[in-house]
Amino acid sequence: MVQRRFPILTHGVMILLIILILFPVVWVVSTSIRRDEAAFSTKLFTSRVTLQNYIDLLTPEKNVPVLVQELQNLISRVKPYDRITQQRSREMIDKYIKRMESYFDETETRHALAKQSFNNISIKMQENAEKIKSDLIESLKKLSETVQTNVPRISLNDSYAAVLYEKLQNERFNSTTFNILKQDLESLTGYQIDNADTYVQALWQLSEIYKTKVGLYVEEFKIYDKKLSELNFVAQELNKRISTLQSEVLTTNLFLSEAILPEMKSLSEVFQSLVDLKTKIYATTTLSMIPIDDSKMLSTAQGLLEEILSTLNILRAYVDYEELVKILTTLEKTFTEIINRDESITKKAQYNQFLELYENLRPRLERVLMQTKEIFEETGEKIILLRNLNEKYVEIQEEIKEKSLRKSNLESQIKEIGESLTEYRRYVELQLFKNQLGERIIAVGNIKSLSSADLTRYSAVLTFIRNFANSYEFKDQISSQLSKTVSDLRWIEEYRDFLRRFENTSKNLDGVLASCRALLKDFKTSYEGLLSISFSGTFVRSDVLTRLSDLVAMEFSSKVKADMTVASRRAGILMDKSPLAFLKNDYKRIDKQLYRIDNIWKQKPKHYFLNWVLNSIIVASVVGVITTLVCAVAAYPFSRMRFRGRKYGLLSFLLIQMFPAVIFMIAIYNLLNFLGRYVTFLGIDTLGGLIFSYLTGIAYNMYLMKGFYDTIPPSLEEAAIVDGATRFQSFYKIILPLARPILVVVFLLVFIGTFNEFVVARIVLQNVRNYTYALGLQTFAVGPYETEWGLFTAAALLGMMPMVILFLSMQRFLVSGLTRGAVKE
Amino acid sequence: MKKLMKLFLWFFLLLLNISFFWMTAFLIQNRYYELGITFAVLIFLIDFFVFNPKGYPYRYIIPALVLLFILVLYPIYFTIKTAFTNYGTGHFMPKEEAIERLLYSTKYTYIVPSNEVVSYRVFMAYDGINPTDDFIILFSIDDQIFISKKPVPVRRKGRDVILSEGILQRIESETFLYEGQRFKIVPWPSLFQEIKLLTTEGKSYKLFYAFDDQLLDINAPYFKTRIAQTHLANTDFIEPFSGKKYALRILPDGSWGFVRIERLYRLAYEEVYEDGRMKLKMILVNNVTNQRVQEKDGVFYDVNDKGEEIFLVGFIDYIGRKNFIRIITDPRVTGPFLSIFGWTFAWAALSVVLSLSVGLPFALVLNDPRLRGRNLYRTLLIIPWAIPAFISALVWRNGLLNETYGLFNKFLLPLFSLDPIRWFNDPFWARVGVLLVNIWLTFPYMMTISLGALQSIPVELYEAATVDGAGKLRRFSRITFPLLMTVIGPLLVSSFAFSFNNFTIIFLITAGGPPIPGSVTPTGYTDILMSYVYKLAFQAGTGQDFGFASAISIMIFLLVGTISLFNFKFSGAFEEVGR
Repeated sequence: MVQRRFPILTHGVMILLIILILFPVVWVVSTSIRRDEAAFSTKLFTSRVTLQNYIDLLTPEKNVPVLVQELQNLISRVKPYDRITQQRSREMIDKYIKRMESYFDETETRHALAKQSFNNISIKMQENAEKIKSDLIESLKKLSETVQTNVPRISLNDSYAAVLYEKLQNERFNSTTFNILKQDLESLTGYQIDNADTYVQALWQLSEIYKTKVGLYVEEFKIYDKKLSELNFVAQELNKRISTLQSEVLTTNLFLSEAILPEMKSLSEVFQSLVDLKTKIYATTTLSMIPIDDSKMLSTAQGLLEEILSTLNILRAYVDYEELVKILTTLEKTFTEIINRDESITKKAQYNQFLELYENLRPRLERVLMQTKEIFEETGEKIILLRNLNEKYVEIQEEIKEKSLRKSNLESQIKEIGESLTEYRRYVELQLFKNQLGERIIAVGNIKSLSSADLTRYSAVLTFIRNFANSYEFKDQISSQLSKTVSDLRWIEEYRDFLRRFENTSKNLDGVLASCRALLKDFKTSYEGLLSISFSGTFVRSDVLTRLSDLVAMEFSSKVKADMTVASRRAGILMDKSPLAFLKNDYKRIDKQLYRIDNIWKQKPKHYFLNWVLNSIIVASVVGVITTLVCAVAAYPFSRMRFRGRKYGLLSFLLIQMFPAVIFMIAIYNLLNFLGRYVTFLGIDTLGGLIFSYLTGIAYNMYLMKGFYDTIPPSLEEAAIVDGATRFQSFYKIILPLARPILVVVFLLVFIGTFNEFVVARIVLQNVRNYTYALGLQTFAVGPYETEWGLFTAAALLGMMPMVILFLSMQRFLVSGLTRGAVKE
Repeated sequence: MKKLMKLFLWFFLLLLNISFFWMTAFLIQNRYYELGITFAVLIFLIDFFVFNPKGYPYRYIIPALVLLFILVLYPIYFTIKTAFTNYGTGHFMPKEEAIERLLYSTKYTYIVPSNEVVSYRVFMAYDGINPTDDFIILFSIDDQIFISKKPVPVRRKGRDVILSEGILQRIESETFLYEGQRFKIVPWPSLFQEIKLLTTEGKSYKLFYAFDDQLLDINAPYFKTRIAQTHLANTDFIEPFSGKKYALRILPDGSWGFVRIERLYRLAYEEVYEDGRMKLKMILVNNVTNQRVQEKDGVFYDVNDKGEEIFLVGFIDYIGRKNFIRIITDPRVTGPFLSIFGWTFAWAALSVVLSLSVGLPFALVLNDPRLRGRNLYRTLLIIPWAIPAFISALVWRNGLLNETYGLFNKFLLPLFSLDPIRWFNDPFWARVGVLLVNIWLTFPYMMTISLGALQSIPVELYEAATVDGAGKLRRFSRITFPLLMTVIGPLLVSSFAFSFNNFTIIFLITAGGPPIPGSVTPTGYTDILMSYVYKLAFQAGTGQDFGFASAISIMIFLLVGTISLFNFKFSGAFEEVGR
């Protein structure tokens, strides 16, 4: 069997899995004791630990900003200080002033301590400048060696020549790069290069190779690129013109359909009725004295007819104006009829009227026809242009497509070539780097001390290496050595910044502290008067305190805090990274002192952690006790007696237990809302209301209790009843004591369940002070606190520990209890 | 002793009866009929159980019954009732209350133009140097002086005062009787502006605030916040002879003064023809325009002179099956709803299946008695289950899944050169994220029940199988797994039903998000039905829709109830209960 043969393997796998699974817990523990801002740190764990988060949660310290606020409250007699006597106020103010002074003193001493360590560090660093330098040179040399041994071997072929040309084409004779690569160049060309002429000749030679190898492709690519951009430009221009044209055409169409078409239509109808009139005139009998002259009508009608026909001719070229065509066709017919007249009509008297009407209408039709024709002359051109442009556009698009295909082909070809040249390029880059590194090493060797100028030089070396490391794209020994060197030398930057930050901190802290002391002194001498005024019933605030508060809130954070936290962080890094390991304790001390000073002065978020925990415990205990008692009593008859409704009672209990309390929330919320109007302590946003809504959990627990009662032999009660006890007495005096374990278990289960409940509490509670632990913890985790992991994880751990211990201690019961319902004994 | 006990019990029963009867009467009077009936039924049952010897077993259940009636049965009834109403934002009060507010709330009044000059002064009884809330107001209305003490609420809804009234009494002499107390004005005779003090038996009221007295401006904040807003906001001061009403308003010049007001609406009746008879119907009429107030979709509207409808107040109205129909027919509701519906089942099923498939292998390993340190392993593995779920959810959300700072995106994924995962904004990964956390939380439970069940499988079966030449895999698939399933099957179904409604993790990690686009209700890709209900009913910002939420609650009731009943059937709970 596998397990017998590889028990170690099983253990190993189990341990590994457990570590993986419990990692979130480990994370909570480790993050809760971190001193740095874990969310922004690049490290998973850190050695800078503190219990400050727990202190902030459990015994929040009245630090400087809080004290200032409290003093102000005392002066203004704001809650909770609105009921105390003047004497007491004075005492408290004195006490707070004393405490504030002690904070100032503490800041001073801690600052002095930090300074001491700081001086020690800079002295030691100076003393050991030589050692630091040699260490540095050593690691640089190591890097150099690694590069030397790992430079790829290459053959001096055309590919190499092409790469060389790339590198050298913009270099002058005798430049550094040239000098480094000179030897290779000479062996490639086969002759000595010791003056500019031979260099030019050699470059020309290389350029020929480059051209055949890479250059031709590159040039063609460039040509295509240029052509493509030109084509794209043309296409864009075309597009622009098309869109202007198309909007013009659309406007004309609109005019046609909205203005011309209706008019034409009505005219056509009118002329049609005119024709009808004419046919009727034939039948009239009244004759005119002389034959009416209609030659003018005939000629104009003829003209109009021709006009109509020609317009129709134009229009028939387009599909889109069918309606207009239809109308014109009708008009054409109408006019043919108008012209087509019998001579007899000229004798009729009414013919005159017909002619008059015709003459009235004629100009309108003429005008409309003219307009239509004009429009079409213009639009026709546009439409043709549009068509042409469209064709052109399609052509260009196709060309673009073709060209870009070729371009991307070329691109991939170039890329391929480039890849074949990678090794050579790497070789050249490394050669160059090696040489430059050598120069840097020599330069570093000339540095004598550790002044700030020297640090700048060191820093330049680091930047140089880091830049190369960033541009070096390969994963090999060189790259790992590079990143190792960068991390070895990181202390240079950290140290430089640390020096600057600490000096700034030091300088500004003294200033701020001095002004704080002065203000506090002012306050000390002046507060008596203010207090008397305040106690005479007038609302006052101390200006001195307002200024002090500004000083702490604004000046301190702008001048000191930023530098101080960075200095502290740098010290934390230098603890492990410093080139002189024995300075670790000094850095640690500085870090510690600065952290403490920060805690004295910084504005901390206000929270009610202890209130929350207390609320949770109250709610969970009360719910636990009530549920346990109610269930203990209710389960008894179900276990011992037979009565109507027993089976369905149990079943409905079983069913009800499946519905979580949340599902009733709408109703219970409204119930609480209603109750709160009359019974204050049962309303929304009260603990009473929350307890009330948690009492839904009796069904499940009653079932559990009944199960346990079933295991107690009934003979015990029977004996008691024989001895004269009532039924209730036998329950109360025999069953309940025996069932004590299950009572405890049910209580604990309900307690845990209630403590762990979130959603119902979220609905019922609104005020931050009334929150339970669960809701409070959420406030640590959302919004502005999303990245403040310290307080959150500490609070999480504090809530988690007791629950886990409670749970694990009940493990045995849980395991057997859970399966009891299913496993039949 | 025994007698005393009995006496005490009878007394207690009497007290219970009285209080329940009172509550029933009170609730019904306040139109909470259902709750009133609940109490009536409860007290009837209690009395029946106590006085009927056959009811003896039931006496034990009384406390449980009270809780179940109020916290389970009534809520179920309430939920069903609400599902057929429009109860929610804008429709919070019953129609009767809405009418009452329209008729009596200060909001619905108008200022009567008049030439009266009304000014007032507030006189305050002090407690030492502190002002109290015992005050008297003197009014000067057209050079006549009136007095009113602190107004008394005349109409209220619970602790909400809809209307208070103060009765004005005219003062004609230096001393006068008011509310049975003799008051004296100091100094007298004087102009209204010169009165400094009001004294009565053992008490005096000092001049505290007057809007036209600069020297008293220092008291303005106290007057405005503590006196005006709490005692004068919904108040009419009535002059009993003329019946004129005065109320405090912020005047156009920014000062707080009293003006004559009148109610904007009045009750009227119109004749309607219904069921073949003329009947009278209650309507509300605007006193100024004499237009009747319109009633539409559970809202009262007033119509102004331009014919525009002005929203007045909404009330809870019966709207039939509209909420249910909306789920099916409104495309902006149906699509997201179906997505949520599907995900609810997927969430519950995947939670159970995946956490079982993590828990079971552990159980199999830990079940081997030859493995040393089994108890330690088991204890360690149970820890995720032991940690309160909300803590785990928050820890995962903030520390591990956070898109910018979380361990996954900052440390783990770059290790394999993978792109950061958008745990909260990508629908797929958000679902994976919540599932992952839920599996982490619940696999120990699965492991524990599997372990318990494995231990109940008799060893002889394995021995026999081994003798018959069955391999390890065959033994697992033919013996272990089937027997395991018969034992833990019902528990798995329970677990399914539990996950079905368990949205704490979803709520804390993604809050249901990322939101489903194009939905009119607050929906998200990781929302399950229960969290959807929660969002509909309680999420701030989107408005509350209790009616619609209740409709969906009913669907959850039915689904969970069905699943559970099937589970009882298959697990033999019916027989067990019958024993």
